[in-house]
Amino acid sequence: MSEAAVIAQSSATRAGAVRLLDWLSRYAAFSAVLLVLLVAAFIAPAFFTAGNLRAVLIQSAILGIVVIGQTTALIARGLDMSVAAVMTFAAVLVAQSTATGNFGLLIFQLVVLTGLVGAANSLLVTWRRVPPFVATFAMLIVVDGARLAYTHGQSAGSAPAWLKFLGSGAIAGIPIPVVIWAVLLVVAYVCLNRTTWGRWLYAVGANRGAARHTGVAVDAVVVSTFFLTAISGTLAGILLSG
Amino acid sequence: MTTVTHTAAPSTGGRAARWAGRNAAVVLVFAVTAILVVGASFMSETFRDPENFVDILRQSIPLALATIGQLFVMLAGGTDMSVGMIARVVGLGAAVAMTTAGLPPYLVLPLGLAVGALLGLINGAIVARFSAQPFILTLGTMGILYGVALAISDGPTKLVPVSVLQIYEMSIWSIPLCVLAMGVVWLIAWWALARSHFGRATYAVGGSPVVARLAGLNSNRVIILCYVLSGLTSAAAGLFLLARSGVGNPTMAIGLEFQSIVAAAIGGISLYGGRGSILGAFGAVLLVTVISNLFDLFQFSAYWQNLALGVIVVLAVAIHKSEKPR
Repeated sequence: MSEAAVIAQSSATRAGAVRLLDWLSRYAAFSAVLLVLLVAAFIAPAFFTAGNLRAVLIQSAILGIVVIGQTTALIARGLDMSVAAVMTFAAVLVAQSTATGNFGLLIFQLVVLTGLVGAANSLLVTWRRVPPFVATFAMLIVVDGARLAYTHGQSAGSAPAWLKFLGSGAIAGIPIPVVIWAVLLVVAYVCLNRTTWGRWLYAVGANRGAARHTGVAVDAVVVSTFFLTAISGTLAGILLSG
Repeated sequence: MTTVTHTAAPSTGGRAARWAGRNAAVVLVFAVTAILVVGASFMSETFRDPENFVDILRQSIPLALATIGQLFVMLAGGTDMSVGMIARVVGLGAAVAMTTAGLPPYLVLPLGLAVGALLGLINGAIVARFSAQPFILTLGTMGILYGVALAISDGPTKLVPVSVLQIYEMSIWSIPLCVLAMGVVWLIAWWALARSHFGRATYAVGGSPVVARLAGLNSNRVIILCYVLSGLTSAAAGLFLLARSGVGNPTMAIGLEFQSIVAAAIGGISLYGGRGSILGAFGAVLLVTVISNLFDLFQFSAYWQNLALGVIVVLAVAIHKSEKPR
């Protein structure tokens, strides 16, 4: 049967179904969530208890914050393998600071961690032209190794009260990590779609050479993505330990 | 026939110097390894013991096998993230087959290699037919196989038959047979890459897919064959790890995929495909093994080992500038 015949045959209702399918596959991620929720409703009704939904939301908020950073790296055709290590190291630093109670030191440590990893990834990728996968993977080994050397494999301390509030408190019934995630999502959306930096980011990802010729500071954009991934990793680590 | 940038042009004088200039990564790897070996030999009597050198060669085998497979995939322009989990599934599966099921080793070991090749074939077929992103696809395979390994056994298995342990132990004139066999595998890999039609095709497909296709090469077949090779060598690495420890362990071959990529990268194999040599990979495998041997010898705290290894990797990838602009 020819294509034309198929099109002619389609009725209005069929067009509607096709459009729905079209819409579902365009927003595949949301469709999948919908599907999982539907299946959960049948096979695991306990999923929809308030406590569980809250736990799931907090988990997705922490992951979501890391993903915001990673998204910027991916749009610029980069990739940051080291975020997981940054996240765990940050969480360990926070937990240990409660044993000493020295929060000035903690903030210093977190800033140094984020800065060093962001700078190292940026230098490797922009200056030494190492592929992002290799560069950030090497940094993953370094940061994980540094964490082991720092903690000697033990975890100590528990989260302080302010952090517990940050990690599992709530504003008007909404868990705080979710609030932070939502705010960051809005900020990221605006930055990606309404700022020069956002335009540059897409330009770098679409065609690096063309971007450079039209005056985009390509390396600066790439550097910004690696600092964003490091910052998002640290932030998620802080929330994780709360 | 296809012309490949890799082939050395004949010249009159200064050929060695020019070769060194073009293969800076290879020269660097061997230089660093030599410096480490000479330095450590002066400092430690245990290190300069010939038995220790034989031991280093034997320690290098799992990484060497995984790196050879990884190298072919990388030269063809891909990445195989599933090598560690293929090694684990095959090693663990073989252990269970020999202990719980009581199957004889002469049946299980070839079957294990076949399973590895089959897993490689699946990776390769999907990458070639559906133009899947190799890194993402093999990362998915890695996840699936991780689950399969857990399903096979969630704890250490019983001791495998003594004949399997012989793979690790057996030696002629105090040189382990497995080291000799590994030498043969390196030679075969060198021949396949530098002298065979398949090797030329691998460089061509990874270096310039369009030209390779225009030259009438069947790119898909080359890519699939590379992944099959990678699966095969990974399975061999898993079986060797099993022969070394004697028990199947659900945590075996951990991080082998990363180590093999790192070794290949240090050895000068381009991550974009099409450039690199067996010699560089051989040097890198030796370097990584010598470093870990030194760590153990000088009782370098295990907590600092990873950090030191990471710093070495960062320096290694930073030192040689990649040749292709992004």
